Amino acid sequence: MSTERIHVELVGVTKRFGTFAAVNNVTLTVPEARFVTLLGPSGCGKTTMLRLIAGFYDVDEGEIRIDGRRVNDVPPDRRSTAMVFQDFALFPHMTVFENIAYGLRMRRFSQADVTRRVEGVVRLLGLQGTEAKSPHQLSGGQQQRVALARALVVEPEVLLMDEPLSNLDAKFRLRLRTEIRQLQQQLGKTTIYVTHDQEEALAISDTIAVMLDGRIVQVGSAFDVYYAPASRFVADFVGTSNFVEGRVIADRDTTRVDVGGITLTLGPRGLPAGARALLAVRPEAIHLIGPDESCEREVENYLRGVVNAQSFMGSRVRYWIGAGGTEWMVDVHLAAPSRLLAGEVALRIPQERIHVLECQEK
Amino acid sequence: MLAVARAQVRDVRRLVREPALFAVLLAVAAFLLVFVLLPVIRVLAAPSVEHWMQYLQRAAFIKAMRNSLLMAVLSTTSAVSVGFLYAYALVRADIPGKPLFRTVALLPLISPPFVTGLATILLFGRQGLVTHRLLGLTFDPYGWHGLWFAQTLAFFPLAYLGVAGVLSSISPSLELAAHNLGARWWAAFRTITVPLATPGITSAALLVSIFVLADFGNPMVLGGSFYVLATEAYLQIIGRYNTEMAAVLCTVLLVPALGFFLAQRYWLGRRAYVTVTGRPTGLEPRRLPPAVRWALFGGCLIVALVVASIYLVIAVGAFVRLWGIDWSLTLGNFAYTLFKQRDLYNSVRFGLTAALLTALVATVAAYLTQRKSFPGRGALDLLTLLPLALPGTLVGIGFVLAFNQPPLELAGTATIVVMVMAIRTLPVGYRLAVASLHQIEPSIEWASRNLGASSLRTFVRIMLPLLKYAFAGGFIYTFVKSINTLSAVIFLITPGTAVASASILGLAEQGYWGLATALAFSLIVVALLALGLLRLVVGRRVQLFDL
Repeated sequence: MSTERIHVELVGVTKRFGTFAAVNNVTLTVPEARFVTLLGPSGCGKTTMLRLIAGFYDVDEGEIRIDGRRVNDVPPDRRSTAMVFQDFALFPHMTVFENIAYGLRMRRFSQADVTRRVEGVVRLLGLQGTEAKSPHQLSGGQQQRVALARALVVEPEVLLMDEPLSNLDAKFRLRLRTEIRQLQQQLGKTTIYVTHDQEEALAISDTIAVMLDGRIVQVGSAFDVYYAPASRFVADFVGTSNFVEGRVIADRDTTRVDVGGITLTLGPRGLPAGARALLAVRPEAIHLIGPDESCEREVENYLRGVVNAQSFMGSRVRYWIGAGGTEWMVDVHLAAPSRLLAGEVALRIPQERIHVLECQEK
Repeated sequence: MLAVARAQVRDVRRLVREPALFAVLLAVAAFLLVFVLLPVIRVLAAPSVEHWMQYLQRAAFIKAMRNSLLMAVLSTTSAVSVGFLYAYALVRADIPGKPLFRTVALLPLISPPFVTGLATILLFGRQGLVTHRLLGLTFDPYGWHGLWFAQTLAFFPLAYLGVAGVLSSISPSLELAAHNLGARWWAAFRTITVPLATPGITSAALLVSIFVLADFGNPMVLGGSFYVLATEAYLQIIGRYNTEMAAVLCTVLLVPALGFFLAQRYWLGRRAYVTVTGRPTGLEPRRLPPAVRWALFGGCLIVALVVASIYLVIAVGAFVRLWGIDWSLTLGNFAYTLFKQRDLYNSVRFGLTAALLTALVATVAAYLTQRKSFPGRGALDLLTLLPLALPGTLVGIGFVLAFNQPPLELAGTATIVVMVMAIRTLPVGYRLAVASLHQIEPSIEWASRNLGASSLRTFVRIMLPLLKYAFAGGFIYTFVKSINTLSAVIFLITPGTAVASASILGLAEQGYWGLATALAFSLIVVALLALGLLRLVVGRRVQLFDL
């Protein structure tokens, strides 16, 4: 990778509320023009981190740097970290225009500049015609755009977004998140985004920082986090996984794991024999073989099983299949209407899709 | 038009199907018509054109009207300013001593309003502790300046409560958003906080001005030659037995009071737009700059010290032999007020009865107006709140006129005193009940109806148990307010039914400072005991004085 300029940097940052450490010794670097998402369940400290960067909370330990400059003691009104709030926080007593112009007025722009810039951002976000309206006259999506416009118009160094889509309808969310991503790339704006929605995080981010209990547990691209989760928590929180635990059997140059009755072949992994391993397999990685379909019996990781339950979800079907003493979640995509499977089936797990989460030697 | 009529017919049909509920509704409506509306009508109808002509020709009356309005403007401005400072400091600033500040602000709300006037005389009067003893001055507090001071202290807590309510309903994320966009404290305060609090401030100001306009106790104690309409009306009846002229003066007083009342209802409704931005975010407001914080702390401290000194003076006055002359301690004042007179006992007895009646009527009326639909629902709501707009003097005279002949001959009885107390405190009890009802999800009631209970049964089995703490709160609140009412009660008492609030005024007028303060002190102690008892029984489940 090229040497990107580091724009925002958190070094060993801790924030306590009483004795509870909401953010616990977190270190994170955000390169310029990147879209970084803080992802985690509620209470994991992601919103607190955003508020620390905005300056709403004071840092207890560690340092926050923007452009290499320490900002711990810079008040929020001097930070240039415009935020889109979860509840939008539009000023109810001002029109859309006045809301968007607020930050410019605080920066003492001339009236002509204010008008020009507000008009520009209104066009950018397709808000033409709403300028004279009051926020409560707008739809949720429009309110969201006004909040975004209000933050963008001041040309902040860093754009902060705190679950900006959580108050909107599911359908609308999908469209807006794509727009937000396009806009961010178009403007090249360094953005830190907070969400608890893993699908949203995967769709929108350059980099995802997964958080749990005030700590960052994994940082990486969407692909990294999805296909190479660093822990059981990440594998379970980002998407879904089947988990099996077993003992490593060294067998010439291939690694096999005995998971109670059945043995899964992993290919060459170099795991020490006798160690306990925790494996994760994504539901969509498993091949489901119906009773009518023919298949070579001698193929690796072939398991006979029974359909315990299934759930039709439109584009795919999720099956719960009992096989080898475990219940496996298996997702099957439907390209065309077809009969749902029942009764006896078989599974095949491709060895390269088995991910080793933990491996502990006895 | 037709649709409205059809809906009303449907509502009536639904009512007739539930005769018990219908009967309760009729009873409440009858109660309000007889005890709220009838006295007002009697006052409005009492004077003839001739009386009105007399009023317009008397310079003294015109002056009294001007004085009333002047005092309302002055005191409202100062009380709301102090109240806003207090509210902003207690809601937004991180300052020490908040519980103490809150408690001090509570005192004027639970004592007779003219206690501040009484204490002003003891502090700054001819024998005043501060002016005479400490500074050796001869200062005359009687008149508009002394009254202004006393009214500010008496009514700033009311403004404080109103403004504090609206300030805490402003989402902290709005101010934070302003900071985030580059606004410093003053800019955010000016462009966000104040505009958003304006409906609440206006509503509080209108409420305070209604109270100042109609207040009778402090002008009586402190006004000197500064006559206002409320005191003039009283003097017309007591001095000249001219009920018709008193009715004219009350009617003149009613016009602005009613205007303020209607305006206040409008502004109170507009408070809703503050919460337009949805769910709470768990955000804490930004810490204020130290200079602002300490300035607010200083302001609160000064106000609190002045209020505390007022009550300290009342307490001390109760225990000294003769204020300003003989400072030796004595229990004689209490011996007289507690054991020789029945006033305090009457206050408690009547107050308890009135509070029970008010809490009952208020709860039922709130349930009807908030949860049931029937023709005249808006009128019932308005009628229940109307006594808030009625000057106490007007209510008192109205009761005299309305209930002095059969079939409702109540003059001179304890009943009429109880009824007037109940009517005076009905609006606060009603607002409290409405607020509590809003905290109960309608679905709880629907669940009961869905499982087969009638409206009335649902009210008794589901709503009343859920409302019992609110009911207890309303009961104590109206009790405290009842024992402190003066302006209406004073027209209705006889030697046998004398109550403490009126007696304090009489004693103060005659210069029996020791007895007056002892009785006032006892009344405050009774109020505090009642509040303490409530806290003991219900704990913190009911937030009183937070309307």
